[in-house]
Amino acid sequence: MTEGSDSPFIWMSPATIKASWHRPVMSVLLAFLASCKPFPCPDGELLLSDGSCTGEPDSGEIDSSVPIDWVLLEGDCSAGELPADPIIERSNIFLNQEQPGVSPFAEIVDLDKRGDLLLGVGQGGLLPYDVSDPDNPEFLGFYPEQMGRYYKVEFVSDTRIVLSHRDRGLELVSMDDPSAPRTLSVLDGKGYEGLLVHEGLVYATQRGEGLVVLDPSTDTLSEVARVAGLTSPWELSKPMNGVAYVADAALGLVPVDLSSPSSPKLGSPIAVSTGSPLHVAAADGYVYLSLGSAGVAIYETSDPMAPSLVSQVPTGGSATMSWVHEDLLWVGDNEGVVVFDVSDPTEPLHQARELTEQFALAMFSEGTRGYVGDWNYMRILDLDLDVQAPHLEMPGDSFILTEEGGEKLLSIRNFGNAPLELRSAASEVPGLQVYASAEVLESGEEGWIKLSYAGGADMQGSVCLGSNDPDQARIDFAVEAGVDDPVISQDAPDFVLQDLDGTSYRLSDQLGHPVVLAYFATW
Amino acid sequence: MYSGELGEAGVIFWAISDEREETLADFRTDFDIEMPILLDTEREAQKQYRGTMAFPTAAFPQTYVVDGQGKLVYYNNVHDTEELAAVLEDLVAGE
Repeated sequence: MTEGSDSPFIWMSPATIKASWHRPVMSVLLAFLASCKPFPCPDGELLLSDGSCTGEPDSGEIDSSVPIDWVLLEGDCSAGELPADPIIERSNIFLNQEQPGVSPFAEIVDLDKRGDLLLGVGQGGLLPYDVSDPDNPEFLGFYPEQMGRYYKVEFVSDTRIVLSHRDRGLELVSMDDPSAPRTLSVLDGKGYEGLLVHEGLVYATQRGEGLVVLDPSTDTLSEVARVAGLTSPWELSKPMNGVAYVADAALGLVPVDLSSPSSPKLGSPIAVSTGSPLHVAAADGYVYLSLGSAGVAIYETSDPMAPSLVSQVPTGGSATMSWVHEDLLWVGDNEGVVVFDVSDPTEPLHQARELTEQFALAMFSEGTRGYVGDWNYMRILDLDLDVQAPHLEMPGDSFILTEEGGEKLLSIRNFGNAPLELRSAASEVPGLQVYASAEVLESGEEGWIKLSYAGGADMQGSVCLGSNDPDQARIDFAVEAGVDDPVISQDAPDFVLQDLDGTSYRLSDQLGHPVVLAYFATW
Repeated sequence: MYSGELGEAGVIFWAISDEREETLADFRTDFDIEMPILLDTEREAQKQYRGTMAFPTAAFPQTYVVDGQGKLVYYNNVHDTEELAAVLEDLVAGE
């Protein structure tokens, strides 16, 4: 999966392999790890086009020229008066079935919707949901013949869809009966990702190749045209004024002139200065480019083939997919969803944020209603625009200090639409104090929490932080200093597992040899 | 099982996944994987290993190193093969 690797990772380069005996270790590991897509990435990291993660982003630097008037936070973290919660979950469907021959997972990576039919795709294949009743959506069934590494789904008509599959190619599927999808044909090919249906044609981006135009009017997709010039194209937006946009992780934002639908022309790529383009949406003259941990960049398109950047907003997580409808921008960012009011896209206003349990990678919205592909959950969320509430975004849930003592700065942000009050903090760890750069953070404002540890002893404990965030009025996070990771020097749990050839492997039979256990996912 | 110095160094590599056998078989073919791919379909091993972590994560990859005495000596959740190689070098040198 690292073909045309544009990875910035030093470990990917054989030149970094120093000692000669590392070579065989490295060759086995690289061949293996490089073929595994770490998907999703660990907290706070960005998934790159080649399937690797960026590593932990720099949490930022405080401008030392501006003195901060630190406020000592004390108290018991008990909830005071709280505003209402602006985002309410109407319902969810969790797929984790254990039936033989049926995917136990959903692992949703894209969503599309037409009428009452919501379609998800992912490792679990094609996942149709009837969402006519948002309080009681219905999952219409797994289709084992359509499982595997799907990337995108797009409606061709009310009863016909197209799917892109990383290894299999493009599939044309009949939805005449939504509870019994029927594959009409498969166009073989690798690396298909982004999909667009426009003027009766299907447009698909292909990694390392370019843009392919197909005619879906019969049961077989037939190729109409092919344009070279894309490298890592994740997604293709809806067109505006005859121009669609490609999010290419290597090239940036690439305009596509569709004024002659059967002979598209690629424009000059607009490189991005931060982040890696993972998804692009278009609405009302603006283009919304999801850039992972660099957030969402917004471009105006008065010159459609030369969009220009007008604003960029962080999301707290790693922005992977957005949807814009009725001036609301919904972003799925791995850790949850975040909503902005983009009635003026040059100044997006923070509305609300909702953290989700799994990995919110896929997003579809209709005004104040959001449909979220949260890995194995499909969630239906409603935003109440009349509710004013803050959201406290923390950079993680565990922090390591040094046993000699010192300070640790945590970057925080208010993703809600009302002032965030940092009310109290407490810890059972002796010598640990918690400060805030300000008692109140306005909507969208960034601030800092400072952990100050007197030191002198190893410690492991927790800190609570109290605020007026209705979702999490009390946040607990872990702190430690000088403590080895508990994983070290435990007895490794023994197991017996079979491999693909039916051979049994028992860990305890390997005593005397170091064993590397690499848990992986093929995504 | 592996040729060259790796085999001589005695390090054993196992890949483990909870995915479907067909998916893994395709993956093995597509990427020419030599090491055994163990099937943890019921996620029993995954649960136990995740339980050893200070801050359990569901994210992959998870790489664990067990030394010759059966102790867990290393864990990472990112592709840090430099660090992993250093750990293995120490283990092999000490044995």
